[in-house]
Amino acid sequence: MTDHVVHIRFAADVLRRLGEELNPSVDQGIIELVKNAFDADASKCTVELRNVDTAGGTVIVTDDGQGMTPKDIADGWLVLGRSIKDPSHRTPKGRLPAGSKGLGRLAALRLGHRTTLRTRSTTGARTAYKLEIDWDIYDNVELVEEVPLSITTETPVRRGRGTEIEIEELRHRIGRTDVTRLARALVLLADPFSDDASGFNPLLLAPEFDDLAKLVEARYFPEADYHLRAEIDSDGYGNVDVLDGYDKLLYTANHQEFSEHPDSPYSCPPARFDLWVFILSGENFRLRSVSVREVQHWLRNFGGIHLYINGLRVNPYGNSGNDWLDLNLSRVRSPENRPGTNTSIGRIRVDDPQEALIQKTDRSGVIESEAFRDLRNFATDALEFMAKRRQADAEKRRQRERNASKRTSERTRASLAKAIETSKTPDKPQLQRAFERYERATTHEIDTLRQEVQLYRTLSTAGITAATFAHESAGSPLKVMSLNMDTVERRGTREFGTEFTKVLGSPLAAIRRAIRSVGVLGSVTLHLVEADKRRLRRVDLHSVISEVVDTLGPFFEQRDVQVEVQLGQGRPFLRTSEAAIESILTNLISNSLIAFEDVITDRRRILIGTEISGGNAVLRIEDNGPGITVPTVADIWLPGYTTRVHGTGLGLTIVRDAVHDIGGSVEVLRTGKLEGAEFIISLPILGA
Amino acid sequence: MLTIDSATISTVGVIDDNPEARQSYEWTLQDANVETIGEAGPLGELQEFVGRAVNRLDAVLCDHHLRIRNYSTFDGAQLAAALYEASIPAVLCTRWEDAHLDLIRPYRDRVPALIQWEDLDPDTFVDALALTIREIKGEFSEQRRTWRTQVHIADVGVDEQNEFFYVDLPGWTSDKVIRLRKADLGAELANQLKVDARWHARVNIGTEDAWELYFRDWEPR
Amino acid sequence: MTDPAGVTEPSVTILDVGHGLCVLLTSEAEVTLIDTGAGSTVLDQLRSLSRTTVRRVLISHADRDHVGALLTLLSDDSFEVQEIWLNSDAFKESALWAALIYEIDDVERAADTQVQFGVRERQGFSTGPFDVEILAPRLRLAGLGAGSRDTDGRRLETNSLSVVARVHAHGSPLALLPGDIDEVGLAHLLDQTPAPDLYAPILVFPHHGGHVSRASNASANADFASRFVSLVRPTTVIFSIGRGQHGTPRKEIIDAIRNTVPGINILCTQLSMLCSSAPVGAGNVAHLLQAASRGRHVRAWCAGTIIIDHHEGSWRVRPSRAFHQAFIAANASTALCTGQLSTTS
Repeated sequence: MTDHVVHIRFAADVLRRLGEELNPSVDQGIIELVKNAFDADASKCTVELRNVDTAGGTVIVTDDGQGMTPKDIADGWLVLGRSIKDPSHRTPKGRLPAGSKGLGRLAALRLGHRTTLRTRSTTGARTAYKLEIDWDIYDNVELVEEVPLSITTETPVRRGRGTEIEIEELRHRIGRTDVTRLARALVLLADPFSDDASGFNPLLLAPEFDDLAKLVEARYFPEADYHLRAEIDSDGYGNVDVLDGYDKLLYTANHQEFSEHPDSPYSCPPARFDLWVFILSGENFRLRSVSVREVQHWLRNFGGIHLYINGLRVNPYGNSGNDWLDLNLSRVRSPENRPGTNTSIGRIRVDDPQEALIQKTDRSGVIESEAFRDLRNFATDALEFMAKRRQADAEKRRQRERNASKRTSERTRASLAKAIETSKTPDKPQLQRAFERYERATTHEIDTLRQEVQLYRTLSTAGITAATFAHESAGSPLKVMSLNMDTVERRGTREFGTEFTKVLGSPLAAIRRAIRSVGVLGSVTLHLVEADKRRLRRVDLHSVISEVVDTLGPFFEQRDVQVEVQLGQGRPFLRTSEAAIESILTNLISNSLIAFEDVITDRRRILIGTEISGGNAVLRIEDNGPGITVPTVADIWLPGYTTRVHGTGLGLTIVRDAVHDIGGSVEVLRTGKLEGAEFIISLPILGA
Repeated sequence: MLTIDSATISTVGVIDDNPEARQSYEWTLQDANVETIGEAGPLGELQEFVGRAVNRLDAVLCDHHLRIRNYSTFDGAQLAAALYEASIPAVLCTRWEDAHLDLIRPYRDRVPALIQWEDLDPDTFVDALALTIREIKGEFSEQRRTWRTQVHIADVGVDEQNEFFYVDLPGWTSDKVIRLRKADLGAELANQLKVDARWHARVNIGTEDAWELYFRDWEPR
Repeated sequence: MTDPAGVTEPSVTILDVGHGLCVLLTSEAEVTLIDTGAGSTVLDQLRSLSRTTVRRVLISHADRDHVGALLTLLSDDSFEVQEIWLNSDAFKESALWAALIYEIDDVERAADTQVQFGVRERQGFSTGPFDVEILAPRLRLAGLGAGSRDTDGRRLETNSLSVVARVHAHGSPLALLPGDIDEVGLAHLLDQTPAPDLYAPILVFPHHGGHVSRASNASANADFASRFVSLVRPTTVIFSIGRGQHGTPRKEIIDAIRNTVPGINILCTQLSMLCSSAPVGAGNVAHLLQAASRGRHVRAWCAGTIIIDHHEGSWRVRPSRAFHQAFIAANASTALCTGQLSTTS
């Protein structure tokens, strides 16, 4: 029996409840508007903040998405709280909608006292639709439906389709912290770490954003010591690879080998987990072209593990302070082999058309469903696998070190270990741990040093051999050749007159030239190893340059290279060793000479120039060779990196080390003024 | 046969530990119109050899590196200096290697002529010989005459083996720093070396080449 | 009277000391040096003249290539120096200055050498038939010293304080020796009423014909050169240079001089690399005088050591123009002084 027809109605206050009370964070609200743009297939979405440092400012969100017709506005935009009917329904660009119920949007729209929506849809590009909402009106009515809203038309201010939402008279100020958080969230919103762009580029018009956007481009991934890459396939089975910084495989495992439940699959949608782990120590970065600080700064801003569902980042996973996979907790147990949120960066990407992972209404994360729990387990299982393998490797290495170290130190170590073991002090466990840490640190140090020593040993051996036998070759055979060459020519002209020179002049000159070249290698080598050159003293930069160019003269001749030296005014000097400057010059020149081998140039040129700038001498070495053609310029400084078949790969490393030891800096231009590589070295001088 | 000032040079001894090199030197000198005798080794004791050279050889051309083969226990510079003292003009031949010029420098007061074998030909040999003959008689060229001048001690013992000290000559045309061996000063003088001290010595500051500089009559301060 | 070195006394000798300067004022009674160069050239010259006593050494400024040999003159026992005139200046080459001062100190105590600091304008001396008039530095420059600034804010370099000496012979100006004076020094010199008379038939050009000052460029150099020769109005300009050193003499300076005084006689002690890229042929010595010459040994001479002596009532410059030009024609295909270098800029 129907007596009265009634409806559930909503008090105007509900707007406040569902809006700002449920979604208190400004940045998350604005992000919701940006996500709407994503869902509308926008490629660009710009957020503009005007005068927001005090209340009364304005927020404008503009996109170039599909726009809305009045029907879309009435039945979509203005309907709050509805779940998406078919979450697997993709947009024309193939995006899975971010699935907003609109409550976050409501909160955003209510940031100010007045909101204006302007939109131009694809189907009516010559008309723009406008909707104005004055939230203050709602404060003076009882029920939500009492306020009529009208959609008006106007001629579009902008061309093409898209939507613009203007929120005016903000109730509160948006402080710097909020802006930074917003900037960070926007930068990370559409997975900036993968190489395949989703085609969605949110932009915040604020300097904080520009800085962060630039920083996220930095991509220090190759500096990572480990790259974890794990996947769950469509059946829920996982596999994990651990690679080095260059994505070369170190360890690998299939589902049975790494999952905690080897027999059952993970019940979550297919996912891909990438994590880059960094070892941020001075020594580790000593031989690299980027500094620890740069990478730390980058990690501080973007580190942690982020979660991307259907292409968009989900708050708060990977936020500063968020450790949803308990990295830091595990790290306490074994800091050497485990990543922390400050030393790693990564993301888990999930394709979730069936909405197995549901985001909470208040945007505080994903609802704890079985799917989400399994996703987390997958990640932690992969991390555990990596940690175990790293530990095993470290142990093996330590064992090797122990075996290799001298008897005496082994005995000393053993006696210290024994002393701690037999001590009765209550601090024994701490002592033991401290001792282990110390041992680890020392072997690590030794390891690094050993690597470097090996580096230079290789080179020295070659040098020693050359130097030893140079003495021999500079001696008798050359002497005999040289003297007799002259005698032949002398006696020949004496006996046979000008006929002699006419017939034999050229071949003799050729022999003479050859004798000179052979002689040069010996003396150049000896020249370089003179002990005196290693002495620290006042070194006149210009004289060393002239001497080196002079000494290497015959090599230039042989290779048809013209070397020009343009020294600036003054005579810059610094306190260093001649050997240091010589090794810088010789190696860079050798580099150029070798590079010429790869191209045909009309006139091979090397230009060496200096100029004084402030307290520095700037030395430039440029050539008209092929330039730096390797994909990553920074790679050229790495020891052992060479593009030459039998190259040592050490020359440029030595240059960099020598320059840094002097307190200078070196940079390289792929293509300099002469169209080849250009090395620019700045050295601090004492005077000129 | 050559006549230089009033000296007659007809027989020149050639000293090198390598027979081929000896022969090559001989051919070169023969083109200067002298007879040559290649001295086969071993040379024996230094003073004995000098004794045998007097009245037999009018001049000598010797290489510096004599110890590589089983030929001699002394270097060419030592030999040339000893011959000079016996009034036999000797021309020393070697290759410019700073490491060795260190070892030759202490003998340079008695070895006026040092040539690189690259530059050796009959003319340069005769010039070198003439220079030596004149110096033995007491006639010094501008590049070889020594003058008492100030020697500034720039550095002492900063090398790995504490073998060297470094000086510069304020009165010379160049401000280049020259490396000298402490051993050449003798222990007594070497112990008095102090950085920045101003000593005096007789130095041939008329030369333009640092490797031609030689020092005598050291006066410490 | 001729002596073994082939020089008729009295004479003014501009010695070939390479890049540097050394001028000897020689008369029967005594010899005075204005600057000494470095190395042994002046020592060799004095020895060959059998002059073991040097009456006086006047130092224009404390640059190694102007004052180095003074040190050996003092330390070597075969010479005696009776007077030294110089200005204290540790600014440019402090190590050298320290070495020199210590030596001077030693000698002043041991021997009877008189040392006079504070050389400046309006001082002078006589030596043989020569009267040497010191025109610079001004008192205010000498007082301020190198390294300080004048009232116009210009920095006083060692060269700004260079001594400028005008040599008179038998009462008439003969030669102007301006050391290494630069524009600042010149400005101060000219800043007086009446303007000083700088006329002299023979000018030894300042600073070896190199850059007038550190910041100079070609047009500033040319400007300075034409101004200078307009003030001095010489008939002969001499450059005391070292072959291959500092690119001297600079082409724009030679050109400016030749434009200002067409037909002027220009001589360089050594052969500039710009005038000939090949060293001199060993036999080309007809014009060279019997005097010590640093360029001799390394085949770098042009006019070599230049001697101004008195002959048949007038002062002449030797080597003579004819001899010198003959040498140039044969040996310096791109000589600057005769404009054989291409003038395309």
